[in-house]
Amino acid sequence: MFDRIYIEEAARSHSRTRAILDRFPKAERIECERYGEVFNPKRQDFRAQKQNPALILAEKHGKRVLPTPPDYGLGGDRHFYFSHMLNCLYDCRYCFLQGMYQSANYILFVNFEDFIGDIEATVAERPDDRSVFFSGYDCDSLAMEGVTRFADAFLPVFERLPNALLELRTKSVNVSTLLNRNPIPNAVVAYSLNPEPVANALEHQAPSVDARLKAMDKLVAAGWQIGLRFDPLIHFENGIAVYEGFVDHVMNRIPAESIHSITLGAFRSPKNVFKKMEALYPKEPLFMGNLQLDDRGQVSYSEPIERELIDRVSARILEHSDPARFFPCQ
Amino acid sequence: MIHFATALHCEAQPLIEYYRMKPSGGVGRARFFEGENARLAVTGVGALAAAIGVTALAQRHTESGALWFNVGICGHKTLELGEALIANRVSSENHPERFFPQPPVTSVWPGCALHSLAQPSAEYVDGLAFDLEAYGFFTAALCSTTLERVNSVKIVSDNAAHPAGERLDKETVSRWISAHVPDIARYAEALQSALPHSETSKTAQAFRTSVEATMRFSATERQQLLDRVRKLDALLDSDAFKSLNELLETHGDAKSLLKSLQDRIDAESLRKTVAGADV
Repeated sequence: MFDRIYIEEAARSHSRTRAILDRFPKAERIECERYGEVFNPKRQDFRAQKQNPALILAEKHGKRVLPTPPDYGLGGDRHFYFSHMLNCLYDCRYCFLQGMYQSANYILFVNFEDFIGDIEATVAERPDDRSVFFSGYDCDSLAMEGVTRFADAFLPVFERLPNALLELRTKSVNVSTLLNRNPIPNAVVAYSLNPEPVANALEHQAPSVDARLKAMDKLVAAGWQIGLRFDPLIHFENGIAVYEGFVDHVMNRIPAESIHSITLGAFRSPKNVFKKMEALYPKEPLFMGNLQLDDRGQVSYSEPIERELIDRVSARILEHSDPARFFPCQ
Repeated sequence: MIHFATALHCEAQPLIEYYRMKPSGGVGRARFFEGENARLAVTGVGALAAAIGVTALAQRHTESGALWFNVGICGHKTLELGEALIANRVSSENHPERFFPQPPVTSVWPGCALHSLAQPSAEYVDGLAFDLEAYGFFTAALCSTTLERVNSVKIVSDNAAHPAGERLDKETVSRWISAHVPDIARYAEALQSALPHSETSKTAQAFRTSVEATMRFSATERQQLLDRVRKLDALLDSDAFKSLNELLETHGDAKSLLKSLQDRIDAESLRKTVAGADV
């Protein structure tokens, strides 16, 4: 899986580092002082690296749990995100991660115990509040579970924190960690979903939509709460009708009582991130037409296109769902 | 195109023969050679000479996408004489910054940290190779390309059993390098296949030239034209692109032409976003 593993000096003796190195005995091991030496240099080609990313094992210092942007919520009192990994196994062409970092290598922060301490401290600040923690902002929460054992480590923590909610955001069908343990009511397995033509064209290396739906069936049967994330909606020929049919297909399949929440948002990107994505993939039609720079500094579809996409798909979702579970991104 | 840099002519000779390169001048102490698929600089010994030679070669040939290879000899405590390694970390005794090459494909050689010294040394350290040029080579090459395209392949010429300072003849060095040239060529081919490259088609270049000859563009409009032609080049097949020439007959000024081009981009991208994604 990895030809090269970089090991940050601070993480060298961590038990999680040793366990991962034992799993990949053939990988070339390269020592670095700080992960930034490998990850941050400017003269890197994200697209080239994406073909054979290396793993960087490091420790995360400084702020590990951060508040989400104001529009990003699931109805809790407070919303936070944390990133035990940077970068994703998959290669979705619309994903902001392509324009976010210089490197496509994966960073795994092995000091889970420090993240857990920070989450517990954040909850303890206001124990009566409903605090939501998003784990899949800078990576897919479950795609590398076999290597990271992330869910295995964090689900027992949230089991002890009933007022906190953990969102595992994923496209992965690697759900055995979840199926091998009892579900907890304050964790939601949130699947990013797009209709098959969009997934085939833009979600490279990700499991098929059908495979994701089958994984969701298993999770539902085991009692897990599911999140549906129709995000980003993509504008394409006859796209709205395709999305409407897709919403019907998904929501007729997943029982309403198992759906924790539904979100949606149209494709958008901060301007600087968009510029980098466009430079990486200069022939990508997704980045070419019907887009504008809006007054928030975001590149997004022109207002009438975005409005119609959001309104029509929202309306179809609300034909199936209680509005209290629906959180469209603004 | 592959750009090689070696310190010595005896290191270069097997590459010059393999890639059928011919002398193509020089700058200062650096001597250049050029073939159909490769260019080479014999830079002279040391990091500074390597940096100067590489910079001069890069300035002569500014096309993006070239691979860069530093090929030469090194010291290593335990590897046998004549064995090859590829640098996975490049450091210098004079600079704090270190380079971590990021090859998108694997090579046949073991990866090894490489430390560039100012002078040859017979003091060896476990797991570390020593040379005189790689740091200067990386510093200069990275001014014109990225870490995925810069490589240092070194052949062990001294080790703890045969320390630096023992007599080394040019023929032996050439023979050692020569043994690894086919692997270097295969690795370079694999890298070239793996690395992304995109260029504008001749049809698109011709269209842009004829548009610029027909109408006046401000600097901003010229940039917009470049950007829109690049996009249409990706979205349209050759025949469809040629039909854009009709726009020159129906549009008299830059603004209206640019608007028509953008309308076409909006329509085509709507059709092709889901059908023709750029993998």
